[in-house]
Amino acid sequence: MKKIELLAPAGDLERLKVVLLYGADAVYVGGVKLSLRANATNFTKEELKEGCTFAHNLNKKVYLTTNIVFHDSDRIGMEEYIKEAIDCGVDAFIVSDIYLANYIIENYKHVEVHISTQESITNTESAKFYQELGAKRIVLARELSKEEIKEISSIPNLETEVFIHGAMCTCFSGRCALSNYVTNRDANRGGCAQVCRFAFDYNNNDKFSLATKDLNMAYYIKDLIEIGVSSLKVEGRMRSLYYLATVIGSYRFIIDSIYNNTLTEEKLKEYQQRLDRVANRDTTSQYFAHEADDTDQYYTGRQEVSNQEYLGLIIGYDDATKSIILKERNYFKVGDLVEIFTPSGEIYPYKIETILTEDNEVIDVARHPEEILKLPFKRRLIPYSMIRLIKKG
Amino acid sequence: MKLLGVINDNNYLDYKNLDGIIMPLKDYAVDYFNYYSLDEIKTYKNNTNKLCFVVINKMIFNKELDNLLKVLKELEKLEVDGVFFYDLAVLRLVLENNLKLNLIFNKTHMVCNSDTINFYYEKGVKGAYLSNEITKDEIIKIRKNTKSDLFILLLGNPVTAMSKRHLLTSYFVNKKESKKKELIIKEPISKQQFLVREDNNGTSFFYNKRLNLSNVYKELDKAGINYGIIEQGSFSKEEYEKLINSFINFNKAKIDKLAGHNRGFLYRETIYKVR
Repeated sequence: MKKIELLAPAGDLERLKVVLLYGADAVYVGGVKLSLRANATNFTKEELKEGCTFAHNLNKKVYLTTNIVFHDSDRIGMEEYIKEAIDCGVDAFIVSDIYLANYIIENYKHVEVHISTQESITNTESAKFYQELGAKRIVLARELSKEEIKEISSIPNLETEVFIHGAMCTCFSGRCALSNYVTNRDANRGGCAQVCRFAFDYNNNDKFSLATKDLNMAYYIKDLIEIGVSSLKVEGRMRSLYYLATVIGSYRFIIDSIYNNTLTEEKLKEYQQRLDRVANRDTTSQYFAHEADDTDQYYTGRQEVSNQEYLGLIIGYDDATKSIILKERNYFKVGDLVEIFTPSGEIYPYKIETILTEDNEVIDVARHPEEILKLPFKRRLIPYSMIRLIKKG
Repeated sequence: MKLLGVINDNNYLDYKNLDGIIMPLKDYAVDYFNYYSLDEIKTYKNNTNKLCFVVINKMIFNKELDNLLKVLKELEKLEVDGVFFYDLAVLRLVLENNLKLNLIFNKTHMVCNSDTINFYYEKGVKGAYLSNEITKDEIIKIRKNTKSDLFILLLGNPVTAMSKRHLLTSYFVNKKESKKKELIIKEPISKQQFLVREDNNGTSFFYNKRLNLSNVYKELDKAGINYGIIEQGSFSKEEYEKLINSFINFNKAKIDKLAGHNRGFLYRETIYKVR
């Protein structure tokens, strides 16, 4: 049986490299047109080509999101854009609009079309409609239960992809234009202002919020494998490198441990805690185990908390001082207990005893984000290793 | 342009000046204020010679598929003039079972371009209900580029979002207060208001400022838009009849006096790249 795919988001080339190095099997990215995240950095033609080459060298895949609900004016240059993306090497297009899906299927037999979650596919009949059109995969609506996912995933020769982690839309994907009405930003063309996270006035002095908690399916990955899902998708093309590295690395570990029959309850709990620490909102399994209810919602407007445990990105090694070189992200100091973790899954507990500046001056406190610093460490680490805070000293 | 009503009171047989009405089907339609059973649709068909369009626009789940097919067969027997659909399950069931039903592509915010409408037209879908979030120029361009029958909301409260979640239930459970089925919320910065309404299928959000396209009614009629929809909303029977007659014997001032001047996105192109 084919191993389930771990599919990661990437808002730019650096994120693409990080998520693939941390264990994603495939990555989804937006280009300069037709993508639903107009404010993500998005990939130029050259970056897309470099990203595809990087991924293919690792035997991994790149999917291009072309899932806007287009207006006639967005149609201009569409064919050329699709051709350019194929020339860059993309393995699949994630499409919402049925005309565009059909265009790609009819003209490019060797490229896959995946139907976007914007279509909110919730039943086997609509799934079969897209299969008959020629789609290779459908991204299921986030409103489905385990049993419903299982039924759709049992359609022969049709891959299903489900979201396992990240922010949730309050409404059915595609069935929300709140952003258009409140901010004039088009929700279905990449301008969503996340109005569902705003606090609304109600009854003069009350607040009404429709914001939902985030999705976290770590405890249900085994179920998703067993019911025949093909791909597990993580949300968040605009998330930080640290967030992506932690989330993708954690799910990589969980998936591999399930296939190796080595996943213990204790380990699962440990990785769940790791995912919780990097989250900036509370998480639930949303519709998977029960109908979403009052426990899946927020009631007081925006709920994001800033995460300051990401201390730095390791960018090199200084042989002279036998130190790792890092770019600082958040405040830390001598005495702090940290973990150094790598894309290949190694984790090193570490107590900070000495901090060196770029010029090898000894300091006690690192307080300037983006500053280049050094920490004595006996071994060289692979690129994109990172440091996180475990306990303040 | 033929005028279709969406009736909120119990007098759905009474509005004789309309060319027909739109009847959201109980348990299978969302984003409306009033829903009809198959029996009520039958009553309408038996008592008028007006157009009768039925709405099946909810997301369909597997457990509903068997009944959905039965319902579609019933609607075929009733010879309704068309079925507005959102979920492609409806289209596939109609095609697979060779049902003689005119379908109208009604993916609320997603009916925005000519090519997609033409794609469905070639699949046998005869009509499209255009999204409320497109401009007048886009409406006219689509008209020029398609053979499909086109429906527009001429007057009514546009739906802005739909969730499967029971958001009002959750809200009032959390507040430990008795539940309300409907409330009005206001976004404090933009001051935009929304009517939130919950039923068994989830929660719908409506823009609380009534859309009124009276200023382009004649132009859109001339351009060849086939059907204009006038929702009753909160109007009384008398007011609603007055409105309908003001479209028939066109009197913009009268319509505007009753319905206000919100022209929606007619002249306001939405942006999506924020720099």
